Amino acid sequence: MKYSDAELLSGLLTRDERILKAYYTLYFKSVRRLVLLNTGNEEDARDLFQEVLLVLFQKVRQAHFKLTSSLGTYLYSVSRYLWLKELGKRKWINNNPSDVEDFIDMDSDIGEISEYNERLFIYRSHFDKLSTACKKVLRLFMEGHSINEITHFMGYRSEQYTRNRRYLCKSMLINSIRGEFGHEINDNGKYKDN
Amino acid sequence: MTMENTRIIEKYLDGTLNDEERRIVEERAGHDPDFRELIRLHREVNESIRDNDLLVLRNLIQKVSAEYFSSPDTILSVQKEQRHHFYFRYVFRAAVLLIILAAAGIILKMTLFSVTSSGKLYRKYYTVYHADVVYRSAQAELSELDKAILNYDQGKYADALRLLSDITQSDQHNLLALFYRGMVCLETGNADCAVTSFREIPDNWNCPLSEHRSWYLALALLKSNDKTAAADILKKITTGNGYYHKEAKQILKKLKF
Repeated sequence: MKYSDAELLSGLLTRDERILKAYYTLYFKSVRRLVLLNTGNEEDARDLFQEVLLVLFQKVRQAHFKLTSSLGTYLYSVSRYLWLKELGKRKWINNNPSDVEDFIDMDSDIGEISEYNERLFIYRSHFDKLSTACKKVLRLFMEGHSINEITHFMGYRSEQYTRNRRYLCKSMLINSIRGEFGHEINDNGKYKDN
Repeated sequence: MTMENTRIIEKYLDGTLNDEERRIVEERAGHDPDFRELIRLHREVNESIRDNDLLVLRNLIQKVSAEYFSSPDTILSVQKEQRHHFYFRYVFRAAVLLIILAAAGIILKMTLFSVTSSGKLYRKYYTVYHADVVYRSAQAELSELDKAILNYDQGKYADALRLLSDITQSDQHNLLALFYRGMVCLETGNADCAVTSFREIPDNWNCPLSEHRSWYLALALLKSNDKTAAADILKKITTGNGYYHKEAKQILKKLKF
């Protein structure tokens, strides 16, 4: 089955499983070759490709996103940008990477989106550790339900109690995140070692 | 993390603080980076709770990825590519090794075994000697020797040789004529004649051309393949600091016996 770039982008937004498979069939090989040719291994290539798809998802969700090249070139360019960034983190600076495809220049927001995604997943892992009631209260608030609806839905005795539960659950969540494995949030909102 | 901070920040993010409370929060965030960071963390955590789509997509990607990499087609394809990659690396390394070996061989040859045949050395180092006499008058007013040198300088070697032979026959001590006869012989490819001419000039010739005579004699001997005699003269040239001492050293290094 052959898909157009537009179909592939749209399928990513709607999280269409067939389309995701098509991404792997069409584009994984070149990303894999890029990583293997530039000091990475098989696992690095798989992790990078997942990261790239999630970054692409965030980009496509942005109202102003416009594809200025073929999707293959765009994906390869995002992969290349993120992989060189990863090599930099590992202190394996590569000023002259081996390329297997044409690429376009990437905006620096690609790296920021990737880091943002990473942070969101960490937050979610802490969120998942909260009690069922806490998760439910916080989710209902985030979904925009009124205090009255939440109080009623949760069977709490008063709206004030519901508010206090919310603040208590949120405090627990924030403390859990900040205390993760001896890490703290630095001034840039990124994790740093103590 | 106090409940009070959470309450204020959540209300701030909800937009439910009154004007005065919001001003106080923003003022504090302006000068307290930790507090500013805390607000940002709250905001992002809220986004993470709200944004279920990203999480669902990640889980789906992980599922698709697991299926893709466990599919027999993919495994075969990856194995094939790994073999190809291995083969490519192997060939690449072998090529690099060969290049290194070749380069090392060339360097060794150029340093340890940089010997060259005397004929090649002659061709490499021989340059035409240009007579440094300036002729201002007409040819008719010149001496026979001057005419011979002029002919030599103009490449009229047969004429030069005839005149020089006449001069040396009538005057065996005309060392300048012997020198130029040697040069003419070299130019015409007659190394033995050159050696004979140069050898007739005594080693202690008190003339600026003496140094040139030794040099060209050594070259003539090289051309005649008399390497031992050439080397003896070249060694003498290297002991001084004359015009040819560097070239003489180079030839001695490369001379193969």
